Amino acid sequence: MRQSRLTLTLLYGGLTVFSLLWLVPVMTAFMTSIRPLDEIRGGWWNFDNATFTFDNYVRAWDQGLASFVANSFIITLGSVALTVATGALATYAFVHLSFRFKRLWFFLLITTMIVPIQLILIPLLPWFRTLGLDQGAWQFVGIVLVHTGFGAGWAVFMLSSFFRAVPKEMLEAGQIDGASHWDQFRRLVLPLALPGIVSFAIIDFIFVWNDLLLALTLLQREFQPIQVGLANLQSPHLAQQDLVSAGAILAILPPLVLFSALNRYYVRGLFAGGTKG
Amino acid sequence: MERRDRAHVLSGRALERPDRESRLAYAFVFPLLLAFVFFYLWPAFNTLAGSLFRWGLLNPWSIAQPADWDFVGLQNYVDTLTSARFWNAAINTGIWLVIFPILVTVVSLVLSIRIWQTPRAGATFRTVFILPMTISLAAAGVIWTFMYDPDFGVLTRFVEWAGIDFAIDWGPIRFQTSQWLSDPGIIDLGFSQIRLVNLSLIVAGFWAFTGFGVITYTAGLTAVSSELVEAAQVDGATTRQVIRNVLIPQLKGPMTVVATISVIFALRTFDVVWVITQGGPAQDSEVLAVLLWKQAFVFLDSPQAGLATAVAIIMSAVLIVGAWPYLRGLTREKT
Amino acid sequence: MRIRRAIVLGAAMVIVVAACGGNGSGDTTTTGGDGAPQTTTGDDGGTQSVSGDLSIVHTWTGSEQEAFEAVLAGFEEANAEVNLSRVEIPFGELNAQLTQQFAAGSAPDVTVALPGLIRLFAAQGFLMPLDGLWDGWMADGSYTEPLREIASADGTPYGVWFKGNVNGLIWYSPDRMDDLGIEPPATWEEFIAALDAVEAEGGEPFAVGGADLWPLTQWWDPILARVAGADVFNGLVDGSVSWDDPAVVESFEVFGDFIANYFPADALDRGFVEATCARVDGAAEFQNQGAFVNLVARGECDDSLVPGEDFTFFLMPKFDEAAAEVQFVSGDLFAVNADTANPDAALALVEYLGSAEAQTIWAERGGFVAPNSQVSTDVYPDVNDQRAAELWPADPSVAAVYDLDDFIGGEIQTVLREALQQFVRDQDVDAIVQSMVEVDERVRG
Repeated sequence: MRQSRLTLTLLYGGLTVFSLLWLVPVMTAFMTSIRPLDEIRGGWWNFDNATFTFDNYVRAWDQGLASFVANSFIITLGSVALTVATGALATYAFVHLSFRFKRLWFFLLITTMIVPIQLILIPLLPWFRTLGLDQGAWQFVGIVLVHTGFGAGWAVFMLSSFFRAVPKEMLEAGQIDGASHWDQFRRLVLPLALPGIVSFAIIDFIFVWNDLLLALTLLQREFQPIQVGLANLQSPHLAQQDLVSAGAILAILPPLVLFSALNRYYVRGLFAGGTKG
Repeated sequence: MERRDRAHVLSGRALERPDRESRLAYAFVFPLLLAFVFFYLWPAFNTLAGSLFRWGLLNPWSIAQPADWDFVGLQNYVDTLTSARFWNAAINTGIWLVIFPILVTVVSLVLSIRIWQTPRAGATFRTVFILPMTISLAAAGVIWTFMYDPDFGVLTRFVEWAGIDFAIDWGPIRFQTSQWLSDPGIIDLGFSQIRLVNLSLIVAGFWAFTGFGVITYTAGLTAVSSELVEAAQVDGATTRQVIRNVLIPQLKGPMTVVATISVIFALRTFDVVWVITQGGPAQDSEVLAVLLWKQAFVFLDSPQAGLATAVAIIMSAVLIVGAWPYLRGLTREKT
Repeated sequence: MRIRRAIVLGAAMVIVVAACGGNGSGDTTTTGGDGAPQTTTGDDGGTQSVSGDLSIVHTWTGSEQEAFEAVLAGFEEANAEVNLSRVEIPFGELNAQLTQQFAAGSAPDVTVALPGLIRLFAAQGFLMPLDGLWDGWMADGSYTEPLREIASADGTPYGVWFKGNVNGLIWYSPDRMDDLGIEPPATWEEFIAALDAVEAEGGEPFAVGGADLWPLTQWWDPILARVAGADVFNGLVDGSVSWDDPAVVESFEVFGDFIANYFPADALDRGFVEATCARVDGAAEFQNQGAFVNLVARGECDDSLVPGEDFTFFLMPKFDEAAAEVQFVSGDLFAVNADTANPDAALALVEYLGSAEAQTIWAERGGFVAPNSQVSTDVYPDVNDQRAAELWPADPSVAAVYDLDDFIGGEIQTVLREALQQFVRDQDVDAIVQSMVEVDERVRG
């Protein structure tokens, strides 16, 4: 589309300024995390006599952030693995097979995208106790299952767009050749829909990594992920902005890295979810 | 597709196939449905059932222990709907429901279009705006707490530096460019008050979530054929006219999606509020999700989990009813 | 400054580790008055060593955590066969986490708990009664009856005092007071006069950390204690006094006057630490806060401050000269899980924590007021801590009242804190009384 040079200059200029403003919050956290607290008191944009240090990260790490990060990985990788595995299987059926109550199940599944997690939150505690999932490392199993259960709707919804993209003719050809559905799933659909599955995995990773409420409710201290650790560093008893910001940056890193490295997939995944048809 | 399921009018052999297929299909969906039933449907049912009883988390209600039941029927709902605290939370949530979607939908639309107009740096700009979406809401909350800090927050200093610190006290409206997290202002509507501290929190949420709008609109914009745009320009349309008459009509679909998802986000919002103000000061920024949390997990001296579940059901009902057409449409389309 | 602190902390840690490895227990038993025999449940003289696994939950971080570790080390030395694991839970999460753990049956053997939580959990049968320990302590005068009350639910003690704190202390800087020509006030009139004098000079009387919620409760509680007295105070806790009792209303009115006349405009914006530093920096003259300011002012604001010289406190004077002496306290107690797998060790641990020996270890480091009256005031490292310790109600005739909202707990606590924030904004006595009466009715029925 042709536009006047003036328009373009204004646009580029305006967007650049706005982009910089948009990044200020992250810059604030980053700056606060790499400088000693008393320097920050005057405002992080003062760079006279600025000292930069990773001390805050070290301290935050020692104060338990290390175990939080480990927990985050366990929970997130576990949830994503389970959700993708079960979700891909289920989506194949939704897309290519017909079965009783399919409509109903689908409807129920997508309600998870709409209702608040609070709908299931409160009974989960007693329910975990009944199932024995409140003891020790079983808590990890429990929360992974909840993430899968609650993420089931998103999984089927998003994956179905990608599965549908596999041409029907190829499937029909396979069927004529006598391939079972399981073979088709494994050899045909999965490989072709793989980019889509990766997209979904990334989105799910970021979503589970960033979850606060479920972890806050269901997990005991030793098993809590970094988001809860972060929320707790904000203690009303101490002014620990230096530690909190270091924690925040650490908490942001994995999703950020994932996002930058696999940008294409992430965006594609959200496209699929966001557009109708 | 619909008619095929009603196989009873078909012949014997055809009858077999759907059943076999059905069973096979269930083999595929079984694992997911297992997690879904046990960790979503069953707890959801428990929430619904539990809302008819009086209980607290120190003595949780259990369907297996009828002896401990304290049945109160719809009393929890009545108490909730007549409680001032609930309506305070509802109003705060209402502020989110109105302002947040508008902010997100409009700003991300404008951004997307402007980015569309600058194709060369488009990807870079887009990345910047999408970036906060990868940040957890808890981290975003922490970051914005720094921004709003009364001593060394960026916003406070900026206001000083730019000389725009002022206060208005004008009829029902009171507003000041300071104390962002404790008392930036009030709009007094007589029957209730709108506390502007909610806006401070909405801004934080908006910053974190707008990327979703940018992605969605951008997807929609890529579907706009360039021939159409060229043709319009050949016909002498200005940029503005192109935007208004070609782009925007094509973006109605994405706009609905962004608006809907924003509304859902606004209703469910917990993380941002919890991390920044915990619903305070007093109950100024307490939204429904925060109230629910407190009722279930903080107010342990009296059994309020029943009330909390009632709030959860009310929230869910509102959302499901509101989104019913969307849900039905999706189901029809995708199955 | 940060690096210096790191070095100091690092050095402190090295010293602690060295001391523990060396004659740790030798040090701690040389407190004056520790000749008093430790009465254990049933045993006569001398503590028997216990063994087995034991878990304890606490809320301390940083230098406080180190101090607590030193205390625990003392126990571990005397009981070498005990495997003691500790878990630190952030203070704000304590209630939620403990609730989960007790409901799940995976609660620790011993846990830190505030009186409100103790009452709540005791009512559910989660805690072990500690009559035996307390009988011994009452007999040898380690603790007084009011303190025992605070650790009890329904007359039975379930908690053990460990870390004390006195509140209602008005912190100030002697130099600046001299400049303003003010003497530390001894009566309420002098107190008001001093505040007026500060205002007359154009200064800001108080630094208030209202953003953190709890400083406001520690503001109103001593006023309530002073204006209404200990009986009304404790009556609010057990429900025998209603929130619209005239004495309670009067205390709100007095607090309201304070807010209107002497509070800063940004009382709700600053957190507790920022307020402390604001006072240290001279932005305000006074701060009404507990004894822990002694540690915080140096640790967080300016570590060159000399306690007693650069900053010290006076006690909030009596509102009514004729009234009985009341001391407003707060602090941390420990309770025992009723279902503990190792009751002997758990009891031994809490007995240790309540003993003068254990408390002296921390007292020597500062930022700590030992609730056990057997601990001599000589062990405190500086004059501020010493004076604070002297205020501890070791004398049974002094009524001790515990931090009100922590004592009540639950929804009433939350509503009180929120109502106090609102009160700071509008000083509407009727509204706050109304809110409290409502929630009280709703919760207590």
